[in-house]
Amino acid sequence: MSHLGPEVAAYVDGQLSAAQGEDARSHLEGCECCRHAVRQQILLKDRMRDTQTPAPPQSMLANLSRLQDRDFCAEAHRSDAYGARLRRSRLSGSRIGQSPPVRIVVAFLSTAAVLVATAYAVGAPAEERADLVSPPIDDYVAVFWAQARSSSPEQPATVPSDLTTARTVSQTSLAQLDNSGWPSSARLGPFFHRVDAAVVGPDDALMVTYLDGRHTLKMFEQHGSLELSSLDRFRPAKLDGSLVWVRDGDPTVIAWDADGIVFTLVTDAQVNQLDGAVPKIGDNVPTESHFERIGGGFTQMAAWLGAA
Amino acid sequence: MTSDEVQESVQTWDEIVAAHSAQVYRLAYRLTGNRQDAEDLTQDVFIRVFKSLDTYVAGNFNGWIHRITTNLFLDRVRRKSRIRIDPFGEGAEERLEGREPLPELAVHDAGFDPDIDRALAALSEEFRVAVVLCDVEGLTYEEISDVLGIKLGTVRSRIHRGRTQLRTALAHRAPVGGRTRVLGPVGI
Repeated sequence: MSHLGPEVAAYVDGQLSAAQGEDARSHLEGCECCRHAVRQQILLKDRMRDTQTPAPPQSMLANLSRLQDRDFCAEAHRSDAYGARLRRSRLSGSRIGQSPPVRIVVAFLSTAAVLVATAYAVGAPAEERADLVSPPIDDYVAVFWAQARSSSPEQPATVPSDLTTARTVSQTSLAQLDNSGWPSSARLGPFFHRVDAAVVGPDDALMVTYLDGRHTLKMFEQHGSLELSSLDRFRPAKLDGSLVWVRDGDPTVIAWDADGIVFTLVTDAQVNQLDGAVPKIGDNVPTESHFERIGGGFTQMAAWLGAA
Repeated sequence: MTSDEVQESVQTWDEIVAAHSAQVYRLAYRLTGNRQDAEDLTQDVFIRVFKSLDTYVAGNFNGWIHRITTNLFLDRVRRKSRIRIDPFGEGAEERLEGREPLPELAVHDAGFDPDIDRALAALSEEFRVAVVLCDVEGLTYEEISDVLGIKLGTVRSRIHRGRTQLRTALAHRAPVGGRTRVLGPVGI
C-alpha cells in the first residue's frame, strides 16, 4: 500500500478496522518514513495526555454548587406572593423588594454588574405606578457622537459631565446577564453585535453598544415608563408590529418602553437599515411570555449573580 | 435502565458538580487556553446543565456534557470571529481581543507544559476541539463524531491535521523558562 498519510492518526488511535490495521502494520515494516510519522504522533499524544491542567478554583466550585439555589428562586417565583411581586414590578416599573434572592445580590455583587443589578432589581420600595421617565435624548446623542467612530458634521460632541464617567460592565457580567434572561441581547437583528456596555448618568442607565461593521448603535435602558410628552420631533411608527417613537435625522433616535424598561436607541443607521433590531429587545404590548421572560430573568439573575 | 443510569438519576446537584466539574474545567482550559475563560465556560456549561436537567434523558451523561462544553465554546468563538472581521473603528480590535489565550499565565509547576498550551492556542478551534477530545479526554472517533455532530472521516482528518500542525508548532519552539518536561517530541 502507499504511505499511510492521513491514516497515521487513526492508526495511532487504534481506529482503523482490523483489515486496515493489518495493511498498515505490513506497510510500516518496510517504511521508515511512516514509522517516523507514527512515532511522532504517539509521542505527541502521550505528551498531551500527561500535561496537567490547573485545578479548578475553589471559588468556582462553590459558585457551581450554589446554582441549585435557583430551585429556591424557581419555587419562589411560582408562588403567588413572589409572582405577584414580580408582576407588580413588571407592570409598574418599580423595583423588586426584599426577596431573599435579592438580598443575595446585595450581599455578593461587587463588579459593575452590581450597578446593573441593583439599578433594576433592588432599591426603592414597590410602587404601584411606574416612574415616568424622560430620557435625556440630547445627552444620549452627545455620548453617541463622542464615542461613535464617525463624527457628526454639525453636532458638537459636548458630553454632560455626569455621562462621561461611564462604569464599564465586563463581558463576563454581560454573559451572566444574558444567562439570566436580561434584555440586553448579544445581537440585534442579524447584523448588530454587542461589543460593550456601561452604566452611565445619574439614573444609572445601562448603555449597550452594538456595531454591524458600518453603523454604530447605542441602546440606553432605564427603569420606568416613557414620558411621551417629553418626546420632541418624534413620530409614532410601527416596527415589526411594535409601536415605537422615531426621530429621524442624524443620528436616528427611537424610543419605546416595555416590561417596565424605557429603551432609547441612538444610531447612525437609518430606520430601514435596522433589519428587525428594534422589536427583538422588547415589545410594548405586554404579554405573558414577556412576563415569564423578564420575571424569570429577575430570579435567575438574582440567583446567578448572587452566586457569582 | 442500567445501574449507571439509575445511579445518575439519583445524583444530587452537589454530586453532579463534584463528579464532573474537574473534567469540564479541564476540557474548558484546554479549549480556551486560559484560566479565566475556562472558568467562565465551565460556569456556562453548568448553568446549561442545570437548566436542562429536567429534560435530560438518562444515558451518556459524559457525552452530553462534552457536547454542551464544545458547543458553547465553538458558539462563542464563532460569535467572536464574526465581530472581528468587521471593519470597526480605531480601538475596536483592542477592545475585542482583551481575552486572548494567555498561556503565559499558566503555572509552571512540574507537569505543566506551556509549550503545549501555546501550540494548542495556535490551532484552529475545530482542530483543537477534535485533538483535545481525543488526546486529553480519551474519546474514540465515534464518540467525537457524536459529540461534534460530524462524520467519522472528518474527525479522522481533523485529528491528523491538528496533530501535524501541533508538531510543527512545537518543533519551532525552543524550550521556555519554567518548562520542566525535558522528554517529549520537541524538535521532532
